[in-house]
Amino acid sequence: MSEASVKRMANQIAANLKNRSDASEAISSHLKSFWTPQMLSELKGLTEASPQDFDELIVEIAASL
Amino acid sequence: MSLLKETDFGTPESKSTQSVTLTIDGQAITVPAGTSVMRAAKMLETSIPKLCATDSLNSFGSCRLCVVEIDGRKGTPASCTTPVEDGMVVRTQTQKVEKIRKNVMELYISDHPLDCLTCPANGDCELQDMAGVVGLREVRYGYEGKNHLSAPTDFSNPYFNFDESKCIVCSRCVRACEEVQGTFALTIEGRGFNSKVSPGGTDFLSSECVSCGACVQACPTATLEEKSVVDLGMPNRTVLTTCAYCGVGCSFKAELRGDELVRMVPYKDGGANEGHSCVKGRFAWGYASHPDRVLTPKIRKSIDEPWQDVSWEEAINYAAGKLKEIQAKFGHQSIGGITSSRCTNEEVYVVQKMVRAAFGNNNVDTCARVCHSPTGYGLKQTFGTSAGTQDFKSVEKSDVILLIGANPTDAHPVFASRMKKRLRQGAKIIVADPRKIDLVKSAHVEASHHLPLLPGTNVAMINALAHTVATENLIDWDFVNERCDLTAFKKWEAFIKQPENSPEVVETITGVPAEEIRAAARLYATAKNAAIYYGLGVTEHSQGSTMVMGIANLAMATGNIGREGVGVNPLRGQNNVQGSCDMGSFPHEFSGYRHVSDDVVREQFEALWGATLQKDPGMRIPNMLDAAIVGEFKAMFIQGEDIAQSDPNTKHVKAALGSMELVIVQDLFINETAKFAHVFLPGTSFLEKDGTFTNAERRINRVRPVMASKTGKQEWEVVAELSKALGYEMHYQNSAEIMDEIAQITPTFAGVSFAHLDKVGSVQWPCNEANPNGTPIMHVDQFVRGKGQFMETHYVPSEERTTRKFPLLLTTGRILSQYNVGAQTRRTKNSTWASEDLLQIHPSDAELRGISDGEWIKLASRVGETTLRATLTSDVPPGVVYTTFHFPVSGANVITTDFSDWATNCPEYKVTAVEVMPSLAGPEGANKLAHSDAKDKERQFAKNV
Repeated sequence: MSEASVKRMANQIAANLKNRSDASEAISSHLKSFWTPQMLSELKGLTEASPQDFDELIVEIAASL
Repeated sequence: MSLLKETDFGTPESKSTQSVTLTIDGQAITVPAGTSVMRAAKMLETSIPKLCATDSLNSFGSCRLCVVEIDGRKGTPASCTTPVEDGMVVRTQTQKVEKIRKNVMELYISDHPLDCLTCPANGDCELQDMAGVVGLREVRYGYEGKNHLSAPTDFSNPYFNFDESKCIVCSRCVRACEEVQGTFALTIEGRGFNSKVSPGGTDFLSSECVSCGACVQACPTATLEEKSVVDLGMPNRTVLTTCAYCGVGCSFKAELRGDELVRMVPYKDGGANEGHSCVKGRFAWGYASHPDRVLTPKIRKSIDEPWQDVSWEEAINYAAGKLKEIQAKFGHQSIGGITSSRCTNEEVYVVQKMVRAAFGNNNVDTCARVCHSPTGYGLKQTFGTSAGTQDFKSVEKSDVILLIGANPTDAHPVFASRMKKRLRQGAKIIVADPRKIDLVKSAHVEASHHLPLLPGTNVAMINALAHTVATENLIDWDFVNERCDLTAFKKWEAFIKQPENSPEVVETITGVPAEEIRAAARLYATAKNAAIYYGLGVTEHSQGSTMVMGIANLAMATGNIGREGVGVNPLRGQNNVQGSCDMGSFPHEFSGYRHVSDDVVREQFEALWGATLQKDPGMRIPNMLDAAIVGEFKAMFIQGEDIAQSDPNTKHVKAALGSMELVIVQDLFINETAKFAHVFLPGTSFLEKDGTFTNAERRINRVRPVMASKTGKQEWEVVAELSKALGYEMHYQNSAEIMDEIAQITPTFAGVSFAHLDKVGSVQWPCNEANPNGTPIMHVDQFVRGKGQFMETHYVPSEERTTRKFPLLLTTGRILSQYNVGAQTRRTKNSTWASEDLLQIHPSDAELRGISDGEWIKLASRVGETTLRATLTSDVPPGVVYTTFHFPVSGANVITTDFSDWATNCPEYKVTAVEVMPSLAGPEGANKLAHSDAKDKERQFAKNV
C-alpha cells in the first residue's frame, strides 16, 4: 500500500469515530476487523516514523497493535 | 416446458378477509368479498368470454362480451364489473347472453382485418379465440362500411409495432400504462367511432412511453406486437428464468421457438415483479448474441501484443502457471480476485473459494465494494445482518415513503411502478435528493417534501430528521424500550439532541430550509407505516456507512421496523449484489457474513473444503490496486467486472492494472479492463447460466439456461478447472451441487436447493427449518443481533470540496435505457434512446460559462478531464452537475476521485468538485461541435477563470 493511502484511510477512520464515547475501542476494532496484517504493520511503522501525520488516537492505537 | 400460459382470472384478486358464497352454473363457491363474478367463475374453471378484462388491470366493462344473467336482476350485467354477493345465482351460458356475445363479436370483426393466417399473433390472439368461443360464423354487417382497416402501423419503437388497424380499442394498453406502469403515456383520442389509442398524439418513440412492454403484454390482439415475434414467429416453449439487470430481479418467461429465443415476457407468478417489466429486462437481451461476444479463450504475454486464440486447457494452464510463478516470486499475498454481482451465487461462491483455498489468501472482493458495501456494514452494526428488511410487496402497506439518494423510475423501474401505484392510492413521499427526479413531480405523483440537499451532506440531513424526532417527542418509546439496546439508545439520544444536529444548523450545511426538514421528519414519524428506500446516493459517499446507520437509527426511533409497510430498504444496483455479498465475497467474511477470524466458522470451512484458510482479512479492491501501484500486488482474477470503466479515478485504476504481471478477465466482451489483461476466459450471458440470483429483497430466484453455453462451458466450470490447475480440486458435477454446499455451510441458506426452488418458485433468506420458504419481513419480533443498536452518527464533511478552480459538484447516476458501464445495453437497440453520456447543468451555471444546450463541454476535476455534451435543465440545482457513466468514450470515472467511505472504501462517486467549460470538439470519434463559435467561447472562458 502507498503511504498516502494508509495515512488517509487511518485518519479518515479516526475522524469518523473519534467523537464516539467508545472511540478508542471502535477504531481499534475496526482496524483489526478490516485491515490486512500488512496494512496494520505499515500503519504501525508510519505512526512511529511520523506521528505528526496521524490523528493522536491512531498513533495511540497503532502502538498497541 | 411447453409454452407457459398463466391463468388469467380476468380481474384482480380481492384482499378482503370476508367471504361470500354464491352459485355459478349450479356450482357453489366461496370467495373473498369484492371478487368479481368473472373471477369467481374462473376459480371454478368456468371461462367467461372476455376481451377488455385481464387480471393485471382493474375491471373496465367496455367490451360487453362477458355478460351473464343473475337471478333476480334485470338485464345482463358484465361479469367483470359485478362483485359477488351472498346467495347470488349466476348463469354464464344462456341463449340470451350467447346471442349478445355473438353480436358483439360480429361488430368487432366487421372492423378487423381478416388476415389471421398471416397475422403475427395467429394462435396467440384473444380476439381470434373469442370468435371461436362465441361460435361466430358470419358477420352480417359486412366489411364495406366505415372502418379502420387502412389505419397506419407505427414502427417507431425499436422493439414493438403498433398496428392501429387491428386495434379494438379495449383500452387494456392504456390502462396497463396507467395502472401497472404508472407512466400515463397512452390515451384514447377522439370520440365514438373515431376513438383510437394514441401515445399522446405522436408516435411511440417520440412519446413519453418508457417501453416497459406492459401495453404489449396487455394487448389482446396483434395491435401491439413484439418485432421479434413478427420476424421469428410465435414461440412454442418457455424457460422460466431471472433478469440479469438491476437488483429487482424480475422473473421472466423466456419464450423460444425451438432453440431460438423469441421474446422475454414477465412472469405473473414472479414474486419480485408479479408480471411487470422494464425496457431492459423485457427487450434488451440481444447482447447475448452480439457479434462482439468472445467465445474462444485468449492469452498474450504482454498487453502490447495481439491476442492469441488458444484452447481452454492452454489458457487455464497458462493462467495457473503464471499465478504460481508470481506467488513463488512475490509471496502468497501478491495475487487476488474480484467477484461479480452480474454472476450467479454459484459462480461467485466458487471464485471466492478458489481465492481462499487455492490462492491461499483472503484477497477476494466484489464489485459491491463500489456500490452497497456501506449497506452491509451499516445494517450489520445496527440490525445484525447485511440486508434490507422488507419484501417489495411491503410498499403496498406504506403510508409514507422516505426516498433517499435513489432514482427508482430509472434504476429500479419495476419497483418504482409498485411505489407509484401506492402513491396514487394516497401514500405520501418525501424525496431527499439534489436532483428533481421523476418522483418529485411527474404524472399523478408529487412529493410532499423535496429535500434538495447538497451532495455530501446526507449525514447532516439524516441527523436533522432524527433530531426533530427526538426533540419533538416523536420517538416510539414502546418500540425503543422493548426492541432496542437502551444503553446505546441513551448515548444516541444525547448525541442527536445536540444543537449541531438541529435543522436550523443543518440548513447551513445542506441548503435545505429547516422548516422543510422538520415538516418531513414529522410526516415520516407520525405515519402509521413509514418506509425508507435508498440507493447509491446514500452509500457512495465518504460517510456512506454512517448514513446507512443514520437511516437505521431513524427507523428504530420511530418504530418503523418489523412489519409490512415499514423498514429500511436498500435498492441494490445490480441483479446479484445481495447474492455476491451473501456468498462470502468480502475479504473479511465467509458466506453468511461470518468473519474469517472466527475460529469455529473457519474450522467448519476448512473441514468442508479440505484446505487451510487464513484468519486475517484480505485486501479490498482499492487496497489491491494501491498495492499494485507500489509493486506489492501482481496478479488479479476479474470475474465479469469492468473496473477500468466502473471504478473511480480511471487513471489510477489503469495504472494499477498496467503494473500487474497477470490480469485474468472472465467476461462476455473485450471490455476496457480486458485491454490490460493477459488471459481472457470467455464468460456466459444470463441466458446460458444455470444457477441463482438473490435480489434486493433477499429473494433467491432460479436462473435457468435458456440456451446452451456459447462457450461450451459454464463459468463455474472454468474457475474449478483453474483451481484444479493450481492444485486445489473442487468436485462439482453441476451448479446444483454448489448450491447444496452453500446451503450446508451457510445457516441463512439452510435447506435451499435447486429442487426446492423449482418446487416453490423462490425463497427469501433467512431460511431455516421453521421457515423453509424464507422470511419476507425481517426483525419482526427481535433484531437478528438481539436488540437494535443505535449508533452515533457524527457528520464529517467530505474532504472533496469545491474550490475556485473547481466550483461545481458533480454527482453521477444512471438512466432508464442504459445499465452501468453499458456493456450489455450499448449492444442493444436501447441506444435508440441514449447513445452518449450527457452532462446535466443548471441554465444559470451554463449561462455563466457560455454553454448552450447540446454543446460539447469539457468536464474537469483535479484527477482528470473528459468531454461530453451539455444538457441544460433545472432538474439539477445551481452548483451541481450530473452525468451517467454508461459510455467508455466519455468515461465519467476519469473525473471521479479515489476518496471513499471511511468504513468500507466504497468510492465517493457522488461528490466530485469539477469545472465545466465549452469545448472545441467532442471526444475522439464523436461528432464535431455544431457551434462554430465554440473555440472563441473556450478562449473567453479560460480568460474568465
